[in-house]
Amino acid sequence: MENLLFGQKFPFSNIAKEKLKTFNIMIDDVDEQVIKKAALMILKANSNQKYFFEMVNPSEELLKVEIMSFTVAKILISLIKTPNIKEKFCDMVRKDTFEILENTEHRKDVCINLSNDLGIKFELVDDNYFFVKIKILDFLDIYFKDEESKLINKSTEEGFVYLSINDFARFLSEKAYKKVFDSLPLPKETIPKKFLQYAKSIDDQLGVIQQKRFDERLVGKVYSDLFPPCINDLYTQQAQGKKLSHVARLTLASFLYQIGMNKTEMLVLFSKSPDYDEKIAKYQIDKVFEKELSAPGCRKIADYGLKVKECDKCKYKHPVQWYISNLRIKNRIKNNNVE
Amino acid sequence: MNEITNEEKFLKENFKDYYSKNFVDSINDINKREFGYGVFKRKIANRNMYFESATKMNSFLRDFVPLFFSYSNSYYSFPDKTPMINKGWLKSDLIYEFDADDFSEDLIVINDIQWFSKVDIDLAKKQVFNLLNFIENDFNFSLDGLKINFSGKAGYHVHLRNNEIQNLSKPARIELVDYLTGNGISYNSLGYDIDDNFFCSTRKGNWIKRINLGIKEFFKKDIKEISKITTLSKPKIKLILESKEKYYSNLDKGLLFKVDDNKSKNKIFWKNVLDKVVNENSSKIDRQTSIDINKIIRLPSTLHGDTGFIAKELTIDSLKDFNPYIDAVVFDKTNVKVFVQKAPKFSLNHLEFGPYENETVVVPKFAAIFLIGKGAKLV
Repeated sequence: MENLLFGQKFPFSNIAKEKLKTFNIMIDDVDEQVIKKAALMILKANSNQKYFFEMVNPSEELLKVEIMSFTVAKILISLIKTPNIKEKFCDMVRKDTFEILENTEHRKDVCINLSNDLGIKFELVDDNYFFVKIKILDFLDIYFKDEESKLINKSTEEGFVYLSINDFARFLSEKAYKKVFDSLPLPKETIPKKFLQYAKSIDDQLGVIQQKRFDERLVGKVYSDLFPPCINDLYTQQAQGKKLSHVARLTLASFLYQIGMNKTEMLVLFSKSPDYDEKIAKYQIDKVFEKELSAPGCRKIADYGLKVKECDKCKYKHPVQWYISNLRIKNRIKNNNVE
Repeated sequence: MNEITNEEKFLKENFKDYYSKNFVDSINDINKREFGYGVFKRKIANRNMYFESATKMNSFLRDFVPLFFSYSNSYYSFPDKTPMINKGWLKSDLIYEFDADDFSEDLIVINDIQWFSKVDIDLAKKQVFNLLNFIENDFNFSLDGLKINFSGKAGYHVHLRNNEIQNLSKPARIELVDYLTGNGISYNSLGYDIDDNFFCSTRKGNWIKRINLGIKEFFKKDIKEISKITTLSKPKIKLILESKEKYYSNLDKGLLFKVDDNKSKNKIFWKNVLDKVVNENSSKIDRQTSIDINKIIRLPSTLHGDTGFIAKELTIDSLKDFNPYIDAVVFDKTNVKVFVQKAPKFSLNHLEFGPYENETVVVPKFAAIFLIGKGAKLV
């Protein structure tokens, strides 16, 4: 029972995998309840919500369903075509794991058990603040999805990263993300055909949600005075004919696409580049429209080295959020004036 | 097709002569690297090239005579395939680049051409040693696979080729760069409290050691500079400096002293101090080079078309006394006549040249090549 509970909390763990084998259920035979739960998991992930819930006195049967649902969700994710669903699903696993580790009783023991399950090497540290130390190369073996995991904000010396119990829980959650992410997609040839129709049905549902979001893509006039500072900096430089790096141009173009600038206007803007080549510029703008590229988020913008000083005061996580928010204010003011 | 200029022809003749006498064998696994080359005034004109051996690569250097020659820090199954995804990425060296133009404040620029002095390039050298401190003391990475080379113009490249490092993911590389540059630092996460109680971190960790030591060093600056950075009035700073020892002992106990009764003024003061300390202690690496696993970079031991210098391979010891304006010069003293529009005074191979303005001068070949790279014409 203890292992079942552990497996339900951490369905990506080896303990869960071992338990799953003991259920003796062929993947073809999973019942409707499991598939519904798996679909719910995916829909939650798509909406950036958490899935895990603490069960009060759960039955063995219920725990089994939860563990199986996770495996089925992975099968469905491997078949679903909706973009970014894999990332969103892994992120849900990461957040759920951290929340469980944060709130669980005997936190240190649970962290150690999960760490052992994931094969992470660590040393306990005799220190008032730190709980463990991990070799830096082992620490770097995550995808750093959480700002709080940043190496710069960890105590590091002589090749070891020192982690408090809270940091350790965060690290384990990142490891959970990586483990699930790296395991996806599952090889299609191993997936029974019956899951295709379930995947299609979920895909359709996600498509409707996606379409709704896409319809929110702005059309019409582009207001450069509403650009966030990072984009404004790129836009100004481009408009002044300064040479931008490839990644800076792509960031700017994808942002302008997202807020509704048309190809002609974009070409006029990029024609100011000192190394302008109409054929190349047209091709690249076409690619942005063809792939419906979204502008990178603030974190990526910082990674690209495109962050500006004013970004420190910005409360948004994505440049388009800033634009939409300011556009709404502008429209509200305009409407009030009309009234 | 563009006609080759006399200057380009001259450079190519001399580069050919160099490559005919010198076999370049500065990297491992040549058949897994992507290569690219540049022509006169264009550092990368073509890439996605592959050589099956050092011998083939040297034949290319001798026969085609590129003025710039670069290789990938990444290893691929099919280095010449395009687009990138078809190359079959295997692993990547970790490369850190320091360019003098990123931090030189007194750089001479004439007609958009940069003239780096030894002092400028020594700033880049200082940064290499700062990086080595991080690599050894913070990361404890093995120095076995560490290679340093002069870029051939105004900077240095540090290559790390250990197996354990080569498989680092892009996010991991970004984390290392952020760690080195102090990007995204959160004082609160490191154990400082500059919001309410004004505590100094007493935790383990090399960045914390750097910051705590840096705070003490900060107050060795002159009053005017401290005032400018912290926006605190000079008389107040004078008062602090007069009781420096008392304040230092508080720092050792984990307390940041207060400079005002107003909490937000204290916060601003300490934020400015810590930001400055972090900036002074951080590594000024070229961010893009360090995280881009698809970049190609100067091949060590090849020639640089802007200077005629060799991208010389160095050890930690030889770097200490390395002077690119002497040690990276490879061409001889044969007299060459060139017309120079404008050049400042500069030193090459123990000889002084310039300043020149709209004049024809006879200079040794190594200086002529250097000047041609900066726009001079053959006469």
